[in-house]
Amino acid sequence: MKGLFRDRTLGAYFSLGAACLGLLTAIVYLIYSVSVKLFAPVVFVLLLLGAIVGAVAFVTRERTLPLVATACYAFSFALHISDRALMFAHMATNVYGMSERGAILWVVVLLLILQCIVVIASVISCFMKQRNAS
Amino acid sequence: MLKKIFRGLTAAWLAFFVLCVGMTAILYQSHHYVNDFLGTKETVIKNDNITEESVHYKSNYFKNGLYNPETRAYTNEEAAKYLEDKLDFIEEVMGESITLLKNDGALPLSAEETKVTALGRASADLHYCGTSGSSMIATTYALKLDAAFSEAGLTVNPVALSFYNSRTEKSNTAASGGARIGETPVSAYPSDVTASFAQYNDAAVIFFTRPGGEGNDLTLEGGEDFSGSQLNLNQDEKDVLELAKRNFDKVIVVLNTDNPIGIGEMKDDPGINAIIWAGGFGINGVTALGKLLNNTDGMNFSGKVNDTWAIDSASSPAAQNAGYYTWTNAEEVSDYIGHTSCLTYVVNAEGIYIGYKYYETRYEDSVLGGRNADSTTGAFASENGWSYAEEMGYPFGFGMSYTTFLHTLKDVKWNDDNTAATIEVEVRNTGNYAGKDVVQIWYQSPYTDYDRTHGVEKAAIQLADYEKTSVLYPASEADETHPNSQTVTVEVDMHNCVSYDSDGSKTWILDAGTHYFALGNGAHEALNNILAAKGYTTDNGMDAEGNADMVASFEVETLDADTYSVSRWTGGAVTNLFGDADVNEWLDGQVTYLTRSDWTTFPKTYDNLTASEEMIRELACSEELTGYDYSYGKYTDAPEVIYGSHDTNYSLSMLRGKALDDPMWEGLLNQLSLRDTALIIGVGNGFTEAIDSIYKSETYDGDGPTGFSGTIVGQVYNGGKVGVKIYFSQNASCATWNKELQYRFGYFLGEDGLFLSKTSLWAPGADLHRSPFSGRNAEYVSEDGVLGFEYLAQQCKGMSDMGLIPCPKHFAFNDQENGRVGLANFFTEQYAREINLRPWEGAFTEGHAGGTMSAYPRIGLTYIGMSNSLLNGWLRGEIGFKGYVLTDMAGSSAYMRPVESVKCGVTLFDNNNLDQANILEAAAKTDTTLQKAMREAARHNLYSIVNSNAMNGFDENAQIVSVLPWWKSALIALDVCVSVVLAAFVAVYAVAAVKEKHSKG
Repeated sequence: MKGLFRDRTLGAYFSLGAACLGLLTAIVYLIYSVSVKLFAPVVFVLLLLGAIVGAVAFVTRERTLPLVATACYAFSFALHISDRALMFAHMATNVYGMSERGAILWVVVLLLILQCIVVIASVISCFMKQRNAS
Repeated sequence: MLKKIFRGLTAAWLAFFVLCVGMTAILYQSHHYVNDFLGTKETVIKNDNITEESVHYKSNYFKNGLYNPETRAYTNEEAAKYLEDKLDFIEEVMGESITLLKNDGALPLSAEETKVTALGRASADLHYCGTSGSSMIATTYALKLDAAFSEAGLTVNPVALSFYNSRTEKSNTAASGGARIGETPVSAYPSDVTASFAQYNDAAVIFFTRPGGEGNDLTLEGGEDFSGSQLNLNQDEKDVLELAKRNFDKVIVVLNTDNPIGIGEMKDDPGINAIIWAGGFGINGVTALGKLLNNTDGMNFSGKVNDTWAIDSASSPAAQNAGYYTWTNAEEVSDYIGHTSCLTYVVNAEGIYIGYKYYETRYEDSVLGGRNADSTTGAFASENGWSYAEEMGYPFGFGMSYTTFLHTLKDVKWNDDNTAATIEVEVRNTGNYAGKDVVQIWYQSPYTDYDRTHGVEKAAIQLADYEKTSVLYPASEADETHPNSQTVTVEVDMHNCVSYDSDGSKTWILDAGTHYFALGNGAHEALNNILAAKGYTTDNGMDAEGNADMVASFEVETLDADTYSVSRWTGGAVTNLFGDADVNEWLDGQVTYLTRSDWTTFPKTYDNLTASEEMIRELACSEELTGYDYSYGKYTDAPEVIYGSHDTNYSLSMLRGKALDDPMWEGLLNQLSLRDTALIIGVGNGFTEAIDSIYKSETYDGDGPTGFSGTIVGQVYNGGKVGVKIYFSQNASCATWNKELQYRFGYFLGEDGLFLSKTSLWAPGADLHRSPFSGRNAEYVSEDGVLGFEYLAQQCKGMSDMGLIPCPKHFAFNDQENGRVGLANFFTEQYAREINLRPWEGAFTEGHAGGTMSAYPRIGLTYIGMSNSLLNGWLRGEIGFKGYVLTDMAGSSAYMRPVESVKCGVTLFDNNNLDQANILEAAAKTDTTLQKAMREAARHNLYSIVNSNAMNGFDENAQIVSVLPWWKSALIALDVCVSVVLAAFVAVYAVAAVKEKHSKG
């Protein structure tokens, strides 16, 4: 276990942090969206995949994995925005729940913010080295 | 190092690339919205030799090429005149709509009374229209109170107004985050505000308002700052009244709302000198209020209320069943059906006794005696048993003026078959101010033993028709151009007066007995006149003596169940259609409808119904679960559908003016592919698709009874660019009782359509003010069916005469917002025909509406889009409607199932993606019945479009050219550039990675 963290750099921890936050976000998304019957599987799967890849990137020496994780996070984020576009249109007209009944605005906004943070953290990790020279 | 940098740049650019592509996808999918917003198009009509004859609808404002489909050029002078006339029109309408309910002589204000204090939070937050969804208007540059009143020479206390502007209280509904009346507590008034009263003490003008709009009903369940009814004054508002009475000699209350506020004690309070009702003002209509207060420019009140204003609005029978009610076994229902658009219901247990029909009928029975009219059941404001005087604030049709008028019934002439009466009334100005008045013709049919035996309910009084005078002048000012009197002719169509008998004759009937026409300033005065004609007086319990001279009677010897048993529009037989909507057909005896024969049947609230197994199956509304054929056998004999034929090469424009069954239509429709047909039906969320095979361009529509969105480019009003959506509430427009103004509203909407190149407007709102609590009453017309009929006929005609397709909504029975999606609506056939469907009848027939938006709720248990009785029996069969039937927003195809809906009679989906089109196309490949239904749907859609302004500029020289709008080009360019840069970063990163590997190796 000690060896896992031995020569990891700040960049690696950014990748790990993004993965942890991504996993948390994926879990929250799953619970929320299933409960309101607005679950988009691709959003969840990509977010989860990104978290897994990001975690693997922390563990292994494969330096392209942070890039792959970033791609997963970014696609998940974009698809989530697209999926919720109608909800924001309803917010603008102050009519809630016409065909989006059950959607909770603040939860969606929170999820999008978390996803945005995950993307940014993953991008930052890609700019940094992942290992100290051993 | 290089590798790290380019890995990072690749990651960052990849994220950017994904967002760009995602944004492009969203915008492409919503391309019609984007085009609408930017004013771009994807198909244009190119016509270098446009002929005058091809311009079927001409604007009266924009002559220099507006109708040229390419240039749409106009001058600033034309636009300025257009805006100026619209603003004048808004003020004119509000001037004739704002209604004076009480005046003890305090009004009009004298020339010296110029300094007023506006009280109430609403004085700084005026009610311009609804506050959500399509109820809204563009209020950014709406005129504020002080600016508006200054046009009448009135100065509004700036200290008080500034104080209210600094406050954050706001009225709100339960659905928008908490029901609130939002009046500023008097305890919060700083001393400088109360001290300022002395300088502005010619009058206190108190503003009370209420919220409301799409998705937002008002409540009877209490809220943050009130208990019980949101339409009664709360303590903060009562405190404002007391504050005003203590500090001002003149107290004027303005009820600025489209939902009738409970009058309560204001009516008899001597400290309140005047009460005024004003509906949604629109962007500048509040100027009319100022001018009415002091008779500036001779402006005099002439509005009449189009709803009942009770002492307590909760006393409305309909209000007892106007809420969010779910089946007790809701989970079982949704589990079986597979979605949740099936959980709510409402029982219209009041039957025909909506609004004044309740209060006035019960009043007559209390005078005649019997039927438990004076029991305590249904008494809300009465102390000892129901009393009209204690329950009624201001009756339907009532309104005061600064002057007085004398109405004299001159003559009643009948047509040959006695189905229409021409009634002449002389109106004379007997007062000291010029003004207009409304001739209201009221009607009473006898309540007979036959009616009681067969459950035919009978209102004691009903509106038959109306007309408004021109301006009439006091005798002292009268001359040839300033008349003192006018003879008004009103044509009463008895088809709007007869009763529906669903039990005995199963059609329309005219009872045997004595019938009456009466004049009156509102329903109550007319009824008192009839009672006087029958020999009743205040000794019998009437609250005022009537005038028998205002009444004409006629006798019907025997019950007539033949004359009105055929549709006046199509000649087809009229018989029962809505038996399934009676809840007792499903839950035998569980509901008691209100009956005049015993007023103790005043409705109770039905909030704990359980759906039976049979009902659950009906609620499913899917072929799979019910086993029904939702085409109802309509297409059994229809020929097989032909697709993609080249036998003809018709352009859609060639079908203009052709009857719906003209053989040319068959040739045109044969040219369509299955995909074309699916697109014509499946995509209708504010636009319709271009279809090359029939040379049809895309068309655009607008939403809402308050008009189109958009901007009158370059025009500045009140400090900013003004939008097009600036009109008053439709409810306010109705209260003018002026058919010419109502027509002209439609005309202006038609001008807007030409200006914006819009073909249809989802307006007017035609649902009923069933209860005072519906959030969308601003968008609808009245509690009365006949007033709705006449209003909608006028406005729709104004629109269609300018080539704009009226698409009244929401068809039908969408009288509340609570739980509207999938709401199971239970009602009696008599109520449906006499009241709820009457406004629609006016829109579709005399109004020539070419479309309608169907509603979210159900007829009984059947989704309206699958209701054979409504869509085929009534709409196409009895009314002869030829236009399109659009769904409401079709986000849920689980409920508004496209295959079943189209088979029944829906022709267009309010949808902005291809989901419905794809479902229809896939299903039609193996379903010939669906193919035939789709063909008919396409026919109706195209029929409406071809007879609209969409055909302006179409002649043999016209070509439809596809263009790529600039924003799509920009997006493509952006995506390409981003992709190239990304590729470059990836390449550099890959090279750096390989080099690093080799150097280490």
